[in-house]
Parts: sequence; C-alpha cells; structure tokens
Amino acid sequence: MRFLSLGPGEVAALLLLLLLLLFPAAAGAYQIRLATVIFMWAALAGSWNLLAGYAGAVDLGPVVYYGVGAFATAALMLRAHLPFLVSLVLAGGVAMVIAYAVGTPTLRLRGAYFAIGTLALAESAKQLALAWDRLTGIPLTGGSAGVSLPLSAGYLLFYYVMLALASLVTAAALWLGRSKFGYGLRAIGENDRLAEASGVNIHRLKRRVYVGSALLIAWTGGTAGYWLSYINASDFFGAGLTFQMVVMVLLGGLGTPFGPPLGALFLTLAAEILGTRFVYHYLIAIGVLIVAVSLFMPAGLAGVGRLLRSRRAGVQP
Amino acid sequence: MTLLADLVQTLINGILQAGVYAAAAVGLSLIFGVSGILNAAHGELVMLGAFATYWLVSAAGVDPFLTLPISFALLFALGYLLQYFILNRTLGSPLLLSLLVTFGISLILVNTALRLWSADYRLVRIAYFERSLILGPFIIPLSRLVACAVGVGMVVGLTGLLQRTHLGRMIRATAQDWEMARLLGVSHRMIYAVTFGLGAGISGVAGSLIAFYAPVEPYMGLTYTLFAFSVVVLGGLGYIPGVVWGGLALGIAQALTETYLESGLSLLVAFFLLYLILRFMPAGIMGKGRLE
Repeated sequence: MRFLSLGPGEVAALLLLLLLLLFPAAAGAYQIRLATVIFMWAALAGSWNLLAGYAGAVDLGPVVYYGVGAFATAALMLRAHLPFLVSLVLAGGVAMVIAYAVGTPTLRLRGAYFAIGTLALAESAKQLALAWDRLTGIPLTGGSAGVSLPLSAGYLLFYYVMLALASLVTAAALWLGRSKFGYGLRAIGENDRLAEASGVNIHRLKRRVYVGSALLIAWTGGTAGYWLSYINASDFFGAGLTFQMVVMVLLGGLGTPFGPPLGALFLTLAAEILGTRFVYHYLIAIGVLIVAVSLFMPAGLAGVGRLLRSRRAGVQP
Repeated sequence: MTLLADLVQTLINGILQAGVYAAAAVGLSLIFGVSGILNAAHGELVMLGAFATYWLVSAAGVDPFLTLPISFALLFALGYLLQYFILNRTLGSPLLLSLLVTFGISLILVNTALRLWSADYRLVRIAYFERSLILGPFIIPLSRLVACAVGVGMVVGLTGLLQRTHLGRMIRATAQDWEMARLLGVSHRMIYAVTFGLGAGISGVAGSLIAFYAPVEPYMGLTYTLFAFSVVVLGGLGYIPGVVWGGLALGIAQALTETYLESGLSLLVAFFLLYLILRFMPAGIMGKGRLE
C-alpha cells in the first residue's frame, strides 16, 4: 500500500483541505471571495508548474486554454442551454483536443524556441478570438465587446469548484513527485537528450502533461468566466495572466507541489492589500520583487522552508 | 493597372516598415547571441526611446534628428547599468532566470512610465516630416523613409562595428568562448554590459524613429517585444544581418494582410508566421541562425 503512505507535508495538506471545506461556515462573503481568487491562482499556477517545474518546458502560452475554457463553457451554456457543470466538463474536452493538436508539433521546440513559440501562439489565439465573429460569422467570442453570461447562482459554488481544482492540481503535482511517470518527466527536465537515450518517450510524456495541464487550466477559465459573468478575448487570452502564473510559481518554488499555492496566496494577498490603493506602485514593487527573488532566492518560498529544515538537521543545502 | 499599383504601393509600405523592424530587433539578436539572455524587457527599451524623443521634441523643442544620439546615449547608459549590476548575476543560470529577471525589469519600466506619463497616446508633431514623396502613382511618407533609412543604417553600422573594430572582435570572442576571451584579458562582464548597452541604445533609437510617425504610449513595449522576437526568429536567432531579412518578411507580410485581408489580422499573421518559422525553419528564412 505504498499509495497510502503519506509524508508529513501531505498529511498537513489533507488537514488544511478539511479546514477549507468547512471555512465558508465561519467566514463572510468577502473572505470567501478572496479565498476563491487564491484557489483560482493556485490552480492556474499549479497547472503551469506541472509542465515547467517537472518537464522543464517554459510554456508562455498557457492562457490559450484559459480563454478556450471560458468561451467554450459560455457558448455551451448560452447556445446549447446546458447546465454550468456539464458545459464546464465538455469545454475541458474541447481544450484537450486543441491541446493535443497544438502540442504535438509545438512540443518539438526546445528551450528558448518553445518559450517564444508558445508566446506567439497565445498572441495569435488572442487575435483570432478577437476577429472570430467577423471572420467566421459564427457568434462565439463577441469580438472586442465580449460575451455576457447570466448572473450566477451565488458564490459558494465557485468557492468549492475552485477549491476542487486547486486540490486536483496539487494532488497531480504530488503524484508526479513519486510516480514513474513523474521521474520520467524530471529526467526530461534535467537533460532531455539523455532521457531519450535512456528510453523515455519524451514527446509522449510531455504531450500528456501539456494536455492534462490544458484541461485543468480550461476548467479554471470556464469557472472564472461564469463567476465574473463577463468574458472578453483581450482579458481571457491576455499575456498578463501567463506572466502572473509564472511569477507565482517562481515566488512559491518551481517544481514543488506546494510552491504554486504559496505563491498564489502571497501575491493575491499582496495585490488585495496594496493593489487597490497603489496601482502603479504595486506593480513596480512586484517587478522589484520578481528581480530580487530570482536573484537571491531562486528556490522560492517553498525553498526557504527546505533551507531551514536542512539547517536544523545540520545538512548543507 | 491599379491592381499592380496597389501591389507595388503595398510592397513599398512593407519595405519602409521593414527597416524600422530590423532596427527594433537587432538589439535583441545581439544580446541573445553574445550573452545568451532572452530580454523580455526589449520592447520597453523601444518605448523609452520613443518617449525620449517625444519629450525632447515637444517639451524642449529639440530638433527630431538631434534626439537620436541623445536617445542612444540615455538607453546605452541604462542598458549598461542593467547588465552590469543585475543581469550579470544571472550568468551561468538557466534561460528561465534571465527571462524572469528581464520580465521583472519590464514591469518596473512600464509601470514607472505609466506613473510618470499616464496611459495617454501622444503624437510628435514635426512640420517638415508631414510631407510625402510622390513618385507617379506611389506615395512615400517622408517620416517613414527617414526612419527606414536610419534603421537600416544602424544595422549596417552595428555589423561593421562587430566585424572591423577592436571592440567588435572582443564582443565576438566573448560570444564564442568567454572563458578563452577572459584568459586573453577581455573582461566578459564588461563586454556583456557594453553589448547590452549597444543593444539598448539601438533599440532606443528605433523607438525614436517610431515616434516620428506613430503614437507613443507606455504599453507599446509588449508589441515590439513580440515583433522583435518575430524578426529575429525569421532572420535566424543569433545571426545579426538576418534581422534585415526578418524585418522584410514581417513588414511585407503585414502590409499584404492590411491591403488584401484586413488590418485587424496583421498581428495574427505576424505571430502565426513566427510560429510556423520556429516550427519548420528553425534556422530562419536564410538558414543561418543558431540551432537549438
């Protein structure tokens, strides 16, 4: 029963999950809304971490699937009159099909080429989404005006869906940390030529993670779209979302299961406390923070804990 | 006949744009080729150069041509300091780290610009540039002709500097093998800083040239970062003269899209072209780029 042998971190995470399930009973609407935002970012950053942190592929276009998820969910709800959760699940399928088709050629690119290529894809997707209605005559994205969704059934639904997504992503990262599949991925991340020579099917492994993280990102995007009840292509395909995912992962700790949620918690709270009062100063401060963390704390917030533990155990990190 | 005239005019527009694209991209190619840094703040350097010209012309009344060397000097200094004090610390680290640090720098630059100058679109009015050469049925706006000529001139100048001067030899030696260059007495940290300064200075002048004919605003950087990536990849990553071919490919593709499809699609064409080239011709259209 190796599957059930949980480390202390995993036990703590399960206890935290239990507390979070009960949290809405004790909290007000504002706290619940804030927690939902944190879960959303934890799910997005965590999904990005699956590919970048484990397989070492820096994807600068994950936002494509966020937008696809949001618009596909909206279209299924508005045109096919399906309930929200059914639309969301189907939208995830749409995103997986697109991710499979796009990922197969794109994942052959390496290093800087993959980063630039995915950034180019994301910007192409944004322009395509903006022009879609005019080009095809099929109303889907509403051009630059966007799409409005019916007002939703209350905030508790979103709290639990986002919590489920964040937990799913974290569980996936924990699984990657101990499964054969995960070892294969990390071998690719460390040296892909060597991994290939050792018999790892690098393209199939990377594509599976790419498609899986696209599914999770699409679900998050679909949920966010219905929650905000208004979506437009510039925002939902915007490069800013990608950059925020990257920053959260690096702040929290690249390639660690609990790094992305930590980064999401930290940055969301920082934005909530500072961002509303000092808009430009806040973003300047975030810029300084990114530079400082990258240079002086490259393992992120999760790395600080590890550093302290190894100090206490008398091991040089 | 008008069909042919339309096509020629479209090609002229594309070629005029190409010179500026080449200048706006060559710094990215130089920096990546020498120090292996993929500069995500590249477009912000272009933006700062454009603002330098805007303020010098509209607030201080400086002649637009005189703003070019000032823009170069300001951005050279900024680039030198950024590399010397910040980016030199990322040497030997994975690509992601320098990408992230430069992204942080771009956030700082954009939001400082927004704080100082607001998000307004600003246009430089230059009386003697608001004329055009009329060659039969074709129109060539003077401001764009000048921008294109200066842009191509800078790329040629940079290539000459790298090929023929002592500094150029030191830069090329460091790019090939910095440890060997260091053994021969060339400080790689100083060379990286000078290289970043040169790249930033040229990008700043490119921004000044853009300010001759297009509006200036703090968010313009991201578009030029992406254009620069496109141009550099089209021409071949790390192959500096390739930016002219990359600029031509991008400029003409966009001009054709604007004339024959619709102007809203020109970015889509630009980025999708970039993707296709990366995927199927990774060494660029001339096949001389560095392969990874």
